[in-house]
Amino acid sequence: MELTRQQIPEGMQDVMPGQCALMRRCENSLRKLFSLSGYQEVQTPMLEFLSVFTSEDHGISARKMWKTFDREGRILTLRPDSTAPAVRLASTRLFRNLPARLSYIQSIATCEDIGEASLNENTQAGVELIGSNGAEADAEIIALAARCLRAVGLDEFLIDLGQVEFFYGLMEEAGLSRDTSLELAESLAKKDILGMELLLSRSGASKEAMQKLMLLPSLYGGEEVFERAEKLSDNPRCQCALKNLKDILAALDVYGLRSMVSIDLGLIYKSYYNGMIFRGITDALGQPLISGGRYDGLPQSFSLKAPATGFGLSLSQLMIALERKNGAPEIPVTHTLVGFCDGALATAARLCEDERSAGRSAALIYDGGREKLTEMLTAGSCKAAVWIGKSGKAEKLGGEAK
Amino acid sequence: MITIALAKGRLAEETMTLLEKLGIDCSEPRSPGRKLVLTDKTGEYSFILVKPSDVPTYVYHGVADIGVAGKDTLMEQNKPICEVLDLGFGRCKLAIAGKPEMRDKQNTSGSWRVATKYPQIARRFYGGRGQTIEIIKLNGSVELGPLVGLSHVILDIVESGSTLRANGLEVFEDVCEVSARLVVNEVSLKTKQAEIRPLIDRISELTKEREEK
Repeated sequence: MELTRQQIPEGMQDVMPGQCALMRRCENSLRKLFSLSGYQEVQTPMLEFLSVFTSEDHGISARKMWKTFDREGRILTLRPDSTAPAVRLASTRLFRNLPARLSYIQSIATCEDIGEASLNENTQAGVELIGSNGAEADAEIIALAARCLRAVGLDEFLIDLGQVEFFYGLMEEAGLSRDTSLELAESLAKKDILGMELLLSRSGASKEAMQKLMLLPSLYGGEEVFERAEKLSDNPRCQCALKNLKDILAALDVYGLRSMVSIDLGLIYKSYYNGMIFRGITDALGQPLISGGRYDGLPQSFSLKAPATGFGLSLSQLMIALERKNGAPEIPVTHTLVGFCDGALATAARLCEDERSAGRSAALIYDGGREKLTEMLTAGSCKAAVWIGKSGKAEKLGGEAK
Repeated sequence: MITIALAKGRLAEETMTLLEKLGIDCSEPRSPGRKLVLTDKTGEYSFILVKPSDVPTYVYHGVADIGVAGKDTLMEQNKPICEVLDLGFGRCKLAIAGKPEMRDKQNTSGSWRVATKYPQIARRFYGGRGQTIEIIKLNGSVELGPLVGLSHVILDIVESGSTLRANGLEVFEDVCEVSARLVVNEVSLKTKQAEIRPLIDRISELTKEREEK
C-alpha cells in the first residue's frame, strides 16, 4: 500500500467526534450571535481566481496559497481568507444595498512553511460591515468580537487596539519612503527596537524623527498612552488617529467594554487595514484568536467606493485555546444501544424511535448478541443498553436507569 | 506567574546572573539536576531549560512568556515574537568565510555552494542581492565545508576568528551583528503587562548601566 494512503497532508487535520461536537457548538453560538446582530451569512466559492487575493501592497503572498488552473490556464486558488471574497461579492452584487452586514463561517486553506505546527486548513468565522464609516461602526465590530469570545466561554480576554494611521502619520512627517515604511512596520510589529534603529539610520531620517519613531514600540498600555502619544506629534494625521481611537473607546464604553481594552500604537501588520486594527487575545493561547480592523482601501480595489470594517476568528485556534483552558473535550457516546434477537427488529426499532422522541440518541447493535451489548455498556460506549429477547420483551442490561 | 525559557549553556548562565542582580532567585535553575521545569522561591517565576534554537518556539506558542535567545536563532526562525531588548552579552557576528583563493569568485563560478547552520539567513542574505545560491545545511563544524570541498564558503558565527584562522579560512564579509535578545510572547506582553513590563524596564536599566561601565 502506498504510504500516503493512510496519511493526511501536513497542516491538515481530521476533526474527531468530541472535538467536532465542540466545534459545531461554537459555530452554532457564533452563527446565532451574528444573525441576531443583523449579519447575514454568506458562503463564497472554495476556488477563486488568484487575483482576488493578490495586490501590490497588501495582498497575500502567492507562495502561501494552494494554486491550480482552470481549463483556460488562469490561476485559481483555494480561498486563503474570507474578507476579500466577501468584499468581491459585495462590490459586484450588493453595491445597491449598502450598508451590508455579512457574516461567514467557512474553511480557508493556506500553505504555510513546513515544520511549524501551523494549520493549513482553518475554519474562519467572521463579519464584515461594508458601507459604514466612523468610530461607532468600528466599536460595533469590536463589541461583536468581544461577544463572540464570551459566547464560546472565554470570559477573560483583552482587546488589543491600535490605529495604523498614527504610524503612517509619523512616517509621512519623517519623509520616509513607502518601502522603508513597510520594512519599518515589520520591525515595529515585533517591537524590535534595534532593527528599527538600524533601518532608520540607513533611511536618512532626521534625528528628531528617529527619536519619535523609536518611542513607538513602547506606546502600549492603558489610556495613559494617549498622553504620551499626543506629545509625540501635532501632525494632523496622527492627531486624527488618536481622536478616532478615543471616539472608539467612548463608543465601547456604551457596550461596557472599555476596561477590556489595551491600547497599542505600535500594533501593525502587513495587510489591507488602514484605520483602527484590533486583536482579541486570551491567556489561553500564545497567539491572537481574533484579528480585525478597518479596511476602506480593499473595497476600493474592487471598484466599490465604500468604507468597511470587520474581523475574523480562527476556530481551529479557538479549539486549542479551549482545550488548554478546559481540557480535552468529552467524547460523545450514543445514549441507548439496543440489541435484539432474530425476529425482534420491529420492537427494537420502535424502542429506538421512542428514545429519540424523548431526545435521547439511540442506535441498534446488529452483531455479537447480548454479550457484545453488555461489553459495550461496560466499556462506556453507551449510557444504557437494552436487549430485546425472543418473547419481544425489553430487558435493560446492568448499570443505572435511563 | 511568568515562565522564562532559558537557552541551555552560556546564554542561560549570563541570563541567570542578570536575573539574580534583580533579586530573582535562580538557585533551582542553577543546579537543575534532571528537572526540566524549575521555579524561584517566591513562585512568581518558573524556568524551563531548553535547547537554544527552541527558545523562539516555546515563546511563540506562549508556553513560555519570556525567553533569551541569540539574534542568529531569531533571524533564522523569523517568528512573530516581540524582541524587546538587546541584552548586550553573547556578542559575535554572522559572516561569510572561505579559503582566501575563493574571495570574489562568486560571479565566476557556476553555482555557489554555501554551507551553514542558518539556511534561511543565507537565503535572505544572498536573495536580497538577487543572487541564487545552493545551500548545504550542516549542524556543526561548518568550517569543514570549504576544507573538504563540500562548499565554496560558509555562513557562520564568528567570535574571535581563531577557529577560522586555524583552518586557513578568512572572513569575506559580515552578514550582521549578533547578541542575546530578550523576547516576549506577543499575547503575554499584553495580558501579563503588569508583571512583564516592569521586568523589561528593570532589565533595560541594568543593561544600560553595564554598558556605560
